Amino acid sequence: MSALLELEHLSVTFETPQGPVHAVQDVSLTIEGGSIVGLVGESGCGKSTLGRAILRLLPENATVAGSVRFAGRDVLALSPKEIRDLRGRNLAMIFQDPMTRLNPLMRIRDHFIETIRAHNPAVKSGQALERAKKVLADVRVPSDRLGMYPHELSGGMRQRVMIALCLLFKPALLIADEPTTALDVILEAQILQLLQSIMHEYSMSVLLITHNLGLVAEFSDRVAVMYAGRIAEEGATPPLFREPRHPYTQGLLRSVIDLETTSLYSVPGEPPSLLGETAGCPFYPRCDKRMAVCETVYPEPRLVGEDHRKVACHLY
Amino acid sequence: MTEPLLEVRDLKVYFPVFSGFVQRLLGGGDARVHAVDGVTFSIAEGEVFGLVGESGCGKSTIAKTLVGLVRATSGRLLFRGEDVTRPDPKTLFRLRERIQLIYQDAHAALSPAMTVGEAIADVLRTHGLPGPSGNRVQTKSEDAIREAVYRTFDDVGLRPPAFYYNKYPDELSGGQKQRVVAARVLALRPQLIVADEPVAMLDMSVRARMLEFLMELKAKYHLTYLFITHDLATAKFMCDRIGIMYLGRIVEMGRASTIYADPKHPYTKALLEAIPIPDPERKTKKILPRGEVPNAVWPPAGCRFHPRCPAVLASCGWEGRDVIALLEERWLSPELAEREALAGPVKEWEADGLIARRQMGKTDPGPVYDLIRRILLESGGPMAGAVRKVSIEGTVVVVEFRPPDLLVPKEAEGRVVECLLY
Repeated sequence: MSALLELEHLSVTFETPQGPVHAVQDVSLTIEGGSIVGLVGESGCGKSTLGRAILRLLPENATVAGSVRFAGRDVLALSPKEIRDLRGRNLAMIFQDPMTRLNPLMRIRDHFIETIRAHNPAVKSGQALERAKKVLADVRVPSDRLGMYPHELSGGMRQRVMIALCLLFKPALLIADEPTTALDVILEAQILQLLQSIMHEYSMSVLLITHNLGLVAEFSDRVAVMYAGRIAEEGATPPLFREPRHPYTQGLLRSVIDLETTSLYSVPGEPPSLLGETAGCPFYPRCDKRMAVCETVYPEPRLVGEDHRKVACHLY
Repeated sequence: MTEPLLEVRDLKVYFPVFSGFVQRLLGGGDARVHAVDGVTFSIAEGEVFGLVGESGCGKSTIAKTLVGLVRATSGRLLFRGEDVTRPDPKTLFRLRERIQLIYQDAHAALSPAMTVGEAIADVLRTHGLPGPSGNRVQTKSEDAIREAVYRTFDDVGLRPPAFYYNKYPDELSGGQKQRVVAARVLALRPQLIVADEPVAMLDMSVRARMLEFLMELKAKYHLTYLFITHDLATAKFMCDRIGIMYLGRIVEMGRASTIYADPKHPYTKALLEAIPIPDPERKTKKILPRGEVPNAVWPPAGCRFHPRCPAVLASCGWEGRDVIALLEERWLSPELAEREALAGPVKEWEADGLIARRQMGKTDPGPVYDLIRRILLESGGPMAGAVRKVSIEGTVVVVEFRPPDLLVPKEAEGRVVECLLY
């Protein structure tokens, strides 16, 4: 297998009136073709910013350092035209709330026609609709929905339409940012099952960004756990859940409330502010295994154990 | 048995749908959202009762009805035996001292323009200070009020209280804001607390802290909780008894331990099965219910879960619109859509109660009649079993269903369940 997406020392800094916010710091991550990688973390950990940085969808006040290589191409060096062409065609993204992504004044059919013509202006609307019907059938949406407006669709149908729009050009990588967080648990499971079957059909990789450890455990091949802008731990899903190594991953997994929970646990303290310069391990103030070195020296991620997991912790 | 603290009997809450003039002329004007449609439960003193369900099932509407924010359409609410269904303003004022609501979003529940100390002092100025025998004592003494606010802050762990008194909500963390909201609720010394999704907005690593805090308060102040959540795992941990809601009805209710050990209603089973498990070694292929929760303006006939139910019977409530849903589902497959094009498109079909019909106009209805019979037969299952007859009436092809069996909540294996299987 070859690397489809390679992030190397990727950092994103936002300039704000209060000073620089280091939303993503020195992240290296590889996504292989045909796999689902879960990017998991709590609110404000930088997971969404990372997803947007890959597609270069960040606002003006963001500075990006490091490199993003997609299928061998340097994404950060592409011209505006080239990146527009890459988005949608090779790299697509879906978001949490499909209602805010669909234009309420446009019928579903026009979303498809517009998307197709953005990449290929010569396509006739009849042809475009034929393609729309095909992808809609793949995501199990009846084709009469093409004539409807977004508000006439149910929440699940809207998210399916969003996925269908992404599939039009058979992208190699789909970035799904909390794709089911606005949905109820049954619908969530339906949509993820759908994504899983589609990715095989379309031989597509998925970067699944979520706060839900259960979803990552069920659907991803590999997991990256993010904390305060950095990746704390990254590795194949089964061993990482069986034996989490980073104290944050351990705490996070212990704090999950599931049907087998008999006693509650919460990680002490609150996540740090990402404002200004920091030294040492960002988890240091909340960590129950902290050592003197943790306060001053950031632990560079290193390979640990037989499953070649990357862990950023001085314990290893 | 002692009198329950709260009794809800056959509660119905309908909301009008504002439709256009033409729609009203056409008879669509009485459309109403059946948010809560005949719900009965009671909560004993000291108990944690959970209402669990997906968005739109009516659980939050029940919470709002209990504190008088929404009027019941019919049914009765009894608090310590006293009828509080339609309280006059004075009764409502007193009722709110005894029933208090904790919302999902602590930030939105606090005024950004008021210090958190003032937010609580205000409550005490309005309702008076808690007296020695559960009564309330009005006071003009600002010192006494400030003292009482400090005591409440101390109770919820906001220490030192004087430090927090002059803070504005946006100077506090999420957890601290939750504590302020709890302090404001406790300042009234309520007996029943309705907690509507109290942890849904919190990150996983700090969620447990809020739940532990709620349990501490319960022990310390002998509280009773109505705990409303969409999260079955949290409900399992927190609740003594639970009611599972679907589209305005409680479909299964009983001791939490009984229901989680052996769920009976197919919807309860589906909900439990859909929860993602944070253990990659136990990955299983889930069998999920079809489709989505239908519109509560026109809830399905019979059992509301029947169109999605994996264990559905012929007697569960099949009706005209289910035929349309079946055709839609079938014709997602391009081959079937082509082979059965004669009976389409879907929009030519019209549902009216137990009947689905298609006007053929000048075309011969015979072939469509044959085709729809074949489709029903081929798709088989309980739906086909519920068909009374397929017929041609003039130029119209008609599919008619038998009316569903009567569905009432029944006692089954230590819980109440509303399902024809039991």
